Amino acid sequence: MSRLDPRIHQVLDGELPRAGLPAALDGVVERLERAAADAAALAAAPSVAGRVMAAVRLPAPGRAARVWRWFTARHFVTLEFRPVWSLALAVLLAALLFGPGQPEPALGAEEGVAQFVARFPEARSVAVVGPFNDWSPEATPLRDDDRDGVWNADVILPVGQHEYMFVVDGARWVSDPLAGRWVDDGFGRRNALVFVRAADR
Amino acid sequence: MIALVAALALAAPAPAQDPGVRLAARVPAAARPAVDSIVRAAAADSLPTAPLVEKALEGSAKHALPASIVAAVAATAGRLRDARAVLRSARPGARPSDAAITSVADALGRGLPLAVVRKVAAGAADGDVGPAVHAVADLMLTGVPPDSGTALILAAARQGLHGLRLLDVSAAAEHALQQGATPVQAVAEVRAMLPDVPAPPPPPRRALRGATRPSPGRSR
Repeated sequence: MSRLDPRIHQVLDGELPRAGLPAALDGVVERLERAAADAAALAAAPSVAGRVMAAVRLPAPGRAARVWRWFTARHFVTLEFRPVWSLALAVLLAALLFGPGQPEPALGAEEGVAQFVARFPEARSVAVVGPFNDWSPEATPLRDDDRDGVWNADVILPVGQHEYMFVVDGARWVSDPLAGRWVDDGFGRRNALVFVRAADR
Repeated sequence: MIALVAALALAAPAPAQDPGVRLAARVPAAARPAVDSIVRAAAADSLPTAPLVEKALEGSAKHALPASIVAAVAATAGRLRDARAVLRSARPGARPSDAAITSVADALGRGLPLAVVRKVAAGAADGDVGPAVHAVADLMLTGVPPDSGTALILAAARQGLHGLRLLDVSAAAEHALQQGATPVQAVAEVRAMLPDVPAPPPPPRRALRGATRPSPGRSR
């Protein structure tokens, strides 16, 4: 610890006028006075306890304010995980994103798939009807996902021959012009004929 | 145990709905007595009744008049009788299957002459009669004479083509006709390639994935 010149003590105690000091000691006194002023300012700041008590004395914030504070304040979250579960999650996400959309239905030995395609550009709905759905226009709708006027449906049917017609907009019965085989329906129209083959031939 | 019973109940196939119930639900009341009578008579005569019920349901769905529904069902019953008679005469002593009777009745509905059906039925196995008569009907539709068509299809059956593969024979002839062959040339061309006629490609996997089962309904 360095010792101060006794004249500096006297000046600080007011026993000696500052003007009587040499220039070198006057600089030291100046630095000491500045440090004393800084220390006084630091002591004026409220203590931690004082700040806590001040906060406690404030009126309690409302529910909305608390919620808002919860959302805007920073939260520290600790996550614990096992890499094997991360891997499983990644596989699941990949399967959902890139896997086949629908599972293949199981076909019986005596079943196959009939592919019905029809072009009705102005239609709002098209359905295929036949004995396989009791000729119900609501049972087996065709789809035109890309809205190009070409409607289609893939229908699982027993192997063999099936009569069918298309029903357009729920009311107009139309024979498939592309079927190649037709049979008189007994009601003034003709049903198309399709032959379904076993899928696993 | 309850879960097992429930699982078995769910797994069991639904029983076929009674024809009377199906008719009562959909067919106009004015047509039902006559349709019921035709169906009962067919059952008593050991004819397949499913085509009759389906024809009545078809007429109802197409909003046909009750008289038209009865007439169409009666005509279907008549074709079934004709089909069975021609199958019996073609192969005396053999009992034709319901599928063969129904298929031949449909071929008669397509306008195939009885004499041609008799000739095809005499030469083809019971399981092949349906596809065979339709293959001949396809050939006739493209201009091939009935005798040539019948001979071609029966030759294919003798060389080992069965069931729906017989339809590939008529499809091959149709392809030759589209390439500019005359009917006689087309028959000769296909006969030369027997039994290796091309088969249509199977439906793509995409079609199978998106395929649905029709409901409600049934098929024969």
